[in-house]
Amino acid sequence: MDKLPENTSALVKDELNSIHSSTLEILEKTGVRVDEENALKLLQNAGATVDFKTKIAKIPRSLIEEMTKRARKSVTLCGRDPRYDVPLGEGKVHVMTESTGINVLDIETGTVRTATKKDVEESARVADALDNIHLYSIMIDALDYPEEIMGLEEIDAMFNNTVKHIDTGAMGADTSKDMIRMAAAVAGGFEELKKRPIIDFMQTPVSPLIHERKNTEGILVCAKYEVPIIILNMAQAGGTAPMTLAGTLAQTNAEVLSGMLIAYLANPNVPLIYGTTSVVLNQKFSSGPSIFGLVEEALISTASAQLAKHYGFPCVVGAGFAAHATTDSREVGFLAPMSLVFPALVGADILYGVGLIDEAKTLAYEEMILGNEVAGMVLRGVRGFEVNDETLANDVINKVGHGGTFLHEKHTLRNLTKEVFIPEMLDKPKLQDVLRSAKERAKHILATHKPEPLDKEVKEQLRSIIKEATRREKKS
Amino acid sequence: MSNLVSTLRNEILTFDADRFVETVKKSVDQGNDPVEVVNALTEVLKEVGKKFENGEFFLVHLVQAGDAAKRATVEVLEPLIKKSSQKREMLGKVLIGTVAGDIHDIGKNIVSMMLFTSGFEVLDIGKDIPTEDFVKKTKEFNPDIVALSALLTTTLPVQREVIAALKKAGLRPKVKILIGGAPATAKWAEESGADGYGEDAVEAVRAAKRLMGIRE
Repeated sequence: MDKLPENTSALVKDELNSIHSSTLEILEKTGVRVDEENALKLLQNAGATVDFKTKIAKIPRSLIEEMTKRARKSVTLCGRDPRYDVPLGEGKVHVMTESTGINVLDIETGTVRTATKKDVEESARVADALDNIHLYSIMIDALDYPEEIMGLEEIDAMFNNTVKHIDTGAMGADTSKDMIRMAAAVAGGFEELKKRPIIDFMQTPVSPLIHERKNTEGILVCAKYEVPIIILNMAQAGGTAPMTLAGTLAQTNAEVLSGMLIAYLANPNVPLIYGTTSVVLNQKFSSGPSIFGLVEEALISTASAQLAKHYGFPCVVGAGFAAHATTDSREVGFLAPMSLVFPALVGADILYGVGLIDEAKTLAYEEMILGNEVAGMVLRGVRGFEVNDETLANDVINKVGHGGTFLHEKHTLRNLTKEVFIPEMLDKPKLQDVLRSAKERAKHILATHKPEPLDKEVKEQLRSIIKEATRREKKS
Repeated sequence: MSNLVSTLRNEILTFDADRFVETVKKSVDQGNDPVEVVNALTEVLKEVGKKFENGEFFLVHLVQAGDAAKRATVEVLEPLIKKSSQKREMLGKVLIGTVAGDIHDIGKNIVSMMLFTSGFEVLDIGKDIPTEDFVKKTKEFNPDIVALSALLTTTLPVQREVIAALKKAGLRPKVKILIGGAPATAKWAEESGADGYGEDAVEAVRAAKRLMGIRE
């Protein structure tokens, strides 16, 4: 249990209730558009007013209230190696990599190029070695593969290169099913996968107020197999959500809760996780569509974590890390703690976003190393410190007395690494060229770190599922 | 003319579309030539665009000035110009839409607006547009440029499909193709067989002008 989160907040109780009521009103009055017939039928059967022509479902508040009361909220996101299990909802803060960039800042050449499967493998391997990154989300797409099997090749790359829990997205019924079959092959069967979910799927509504077809198909398949689902919105305040943060929260809350409702109605046993990476639309002329990692994102993430807790759901919230740095302005990456600290202080279960720059488009290995370091400090921060006989150190203070030194004391030796986070990159010689030092560290990991490999048989099963899918896609 | 420009400029900067439409109506009623009003309006919009580019205005200013201008053009000026059989000078015709499978359109809408405010005739056919509809609308509208948007890495390849479909329908030599969207790159533009690419809305307009052989 982290200690600091008990004492801070972005929203007071009345404000949480106001946002909740506004969300219920949006869902009842305007509803959500769901571009998937089966999900619409589920909503209709449960009591929503559904217009199959416009695909709009108006959802009575009682339905949402039932779902938030009864849905399955407790889940451990398991690693392939149980030592890396991440139990959610226990008041501990964890860190996950950013997802679905499209480029890589090449570690050898220093130039930006299109991401490939090999980059998925290598970034998963680097994340596997970093202590303060607990979960690997698919950082970049394997763009050297066709769209139809890209997601499957990515799963192959991830399971082969990290023993930590993995997160990806499920698009379309067939692909989603294949992805889950691959996870089941690694877990040792569908039942084992239910017991120890080594994968979760992040599903994203399209703001404002749409659940897109392929994404919803993914939700339904995940629900069927009881694989944890993160419903995570990506709204942009002022663009795809209101300019005001309270309004943005009311709308995104409606999007997340209605997405959760679809999953819950399909299978009440599916573990549900509340997610947000909403930001403020960049209104200034620049090449990016939005500004990640700024202080308003921190406020949205903080308040969203509070909303999730209000309902009892574990949560994943955007923490921009270095997403606003560009290849030419890397030093800005040091703004990272801004978007981490606020949500960490309300006990967000997962801070999401290590390792990408250029508005989350480009993987930078150095940024994984530095993000890991920043995360370590923030995690140390929220853990707080204990106050007891040992830590009050009364005996030692009396013993050392006036003008002495504590360097000779066993107490100092005993408590050093317990009390102090020892930074690896933030030391003087490395800081002279911190990016180069970080790059060297990443290269060292790539040269030496070998995660426990998958069994040969499992590896073959993964390949054969991909082969089957390739054949099926070719036919259709 | 300069008097007209300054009136329109002052009015558009109130960001009140209703009031702006009224102003334009009044201006025509008072005897101003609709074509001249359109030209003055284009002048004003160019200024607004410049102010956006140099950071003086935010996106919301650009969009709302554009909304007002578009309403005044469609509701007041175009019908009059059509009646009078005069011709409005446009930079070119652009057909724009987000490709099939992608329902994201905020970026496309901004480009669409910027093209309009820069003096292009724009037919925005919306989002998640089936490939065959791009072909059909290209035949009907006869554009100089077809602009394709995609936000998802998974729908980016659909841009190439649209280009292939236009080729198959024999329309490819008649149009220039512009692609855009967050995952699009100059390299992708080349690979997909497009003629141009804009990293952002301002670049998209520049690329469109380049394709039309217009110098800035």
